[in-house]
Amino acid sequence: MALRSILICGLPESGKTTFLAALWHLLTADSSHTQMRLEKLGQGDIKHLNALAKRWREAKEQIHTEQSAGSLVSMHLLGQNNAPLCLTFPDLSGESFQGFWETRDCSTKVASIMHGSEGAMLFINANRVRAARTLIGVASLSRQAGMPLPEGEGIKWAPTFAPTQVQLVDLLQHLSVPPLKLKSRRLAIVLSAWDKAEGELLKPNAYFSAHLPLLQQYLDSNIHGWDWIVYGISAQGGLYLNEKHTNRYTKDELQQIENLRGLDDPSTRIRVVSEKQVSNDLTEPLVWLMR
Amino acid sequence: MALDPITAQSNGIPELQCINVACSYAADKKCVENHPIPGCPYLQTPKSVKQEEKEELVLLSSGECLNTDQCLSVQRSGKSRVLAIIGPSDSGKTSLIASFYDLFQFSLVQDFGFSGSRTLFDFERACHTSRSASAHSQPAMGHTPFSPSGVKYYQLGVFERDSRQCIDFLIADRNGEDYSGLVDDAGSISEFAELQRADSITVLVNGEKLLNNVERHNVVQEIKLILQRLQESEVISRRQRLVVVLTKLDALSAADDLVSARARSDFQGLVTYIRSRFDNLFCEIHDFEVAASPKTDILPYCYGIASLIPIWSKVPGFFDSTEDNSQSTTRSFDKFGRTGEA
Repeated sequence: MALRSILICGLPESGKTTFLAALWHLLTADSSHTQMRLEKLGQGDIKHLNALAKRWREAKEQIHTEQSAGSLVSMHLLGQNNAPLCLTFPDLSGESFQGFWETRDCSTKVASIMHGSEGAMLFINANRVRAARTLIGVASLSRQAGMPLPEGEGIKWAPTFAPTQVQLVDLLQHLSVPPLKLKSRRLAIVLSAWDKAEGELLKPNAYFSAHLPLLQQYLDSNIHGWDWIVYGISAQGGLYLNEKHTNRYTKDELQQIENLRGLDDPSTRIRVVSEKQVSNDLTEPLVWLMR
Repeated sequence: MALDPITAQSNGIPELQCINVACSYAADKKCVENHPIPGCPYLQTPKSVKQEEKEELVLLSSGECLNTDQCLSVQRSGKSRVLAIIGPSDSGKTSLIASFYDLFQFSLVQDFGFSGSRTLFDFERACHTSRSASAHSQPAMGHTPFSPSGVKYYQLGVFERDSRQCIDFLIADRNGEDYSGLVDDAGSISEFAELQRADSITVLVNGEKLLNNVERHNVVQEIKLILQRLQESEVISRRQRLVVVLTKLDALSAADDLVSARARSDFQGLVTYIRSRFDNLFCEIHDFEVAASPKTDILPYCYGIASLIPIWSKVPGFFDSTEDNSQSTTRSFDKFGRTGEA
């Protein structure tokens, strides 16, 4: 059986763990057609995956991945030609990747995971892209809205202020050269929370180009030879419950959560949008990466 | 592997905690999701204890400006252009460099796209004073921090969309005081390695100071003396290009018409002087007007910077003047209703 490893990367709260939860549910429920299927549960520890999928089915937000936890999860799958394949994903926290940018280091454990990865899924929360906002842009908007110009003493620069696309270019640059160079430069970009982005009526490529132009230019330049594709994925299908803040939900929002729970087949919550088609097949990006 | 809390405690390991906020394990030792104990994937060693376990770290590239050796290494690895941005303090060097990078945050720039940077961290730092995250009410002046070696280099990778060729721009930056010191003391010029290495020497003329009756003559004179010093010291060769840039154009646009026209006339007079006096020193001389980080929205952010890129990207001596889309003073003012002031 072929052993393959895919890196799942992205900044904090970009949807990495939710994807794993929904994928594991989709494969184990076996209620929808998928390009890859579950071969067997296998001998390994699937406690982590089962726990994630359980919360996903309950429409509860995933518990934040601890920075040092970094569970390695394995799935025994059948590929398109029924060839068995053991696919391994590290469930690393977003802070592990944010540390590349902010503190310019990573743990040796994370580095060793990078070396073994043949391709990567880069998760970007489409609803939380921090853009480079200029002072005069904000001033102009304030004036148009008839609001007073913001007054401030000034805040010292911190790396965390950097726009999302800058941090992601930096991340991909790190993954292109030693000491974190990936085995293969295939990259599936996942715009997560796609249900929140669909209001703009753009396809994933157009959305990516409109909201992350610097990252797109970097990939287009082909300087590091990335072979890439963009998907819009809604792995949750809507609002999930954060148990820490249950009192912050409106009645309407709580009803939306109940409606999701009320779907007969939870797999139908999932939406995977590519340039060509819409499906609920979360294995589609994996098949593309394994090509 | 899930930890067994009883074994853990008997081995002196601190009591485990559940990271699920909805779980009351700490009080009743039961899992809210009915996972067996041991076996619950959310039962973990407390964070405070984990932090004490020191992990071995792999250091990554700093993302900060390059030194001269690192700059040479980039030059050896492919097509590059070295830009020396020179000018006295407050002439807008940091703003110009930051806005050159920041332009690509929003879209392709003419036929050019961003292809990467080894100095992203320092570029972002340099952009901060123009960004809303700085919480200033208007863009503040950036200042080149002191560098022990004097010069440091930003690196910006750019690709030409049509030719698919990548160019590494290496943009030399140093304190404005260093350039002012050059006028007083010829002895230090050998330390200005970037001047010999530069494909384009870009001299900044502070437009805001040209508006000031007290400072205007000093601004012009200081630029003349810097160029004279370069000529006498023979660090410049005929294969280099000179770009003279009027900065802080927004201040001129906001000023009284007569004062603004006088400042423009001062700048044009300086350009005319440079063209006649130093024509034999450089293979090309260009002039531009920019507002890299305007203080108001009278001009757009990065105004005029895009026009510099086609010039900077070409090998000196090979720039086709028919491609020159630089903005002459008259044209840029036409756009803002100031025609006839030249």
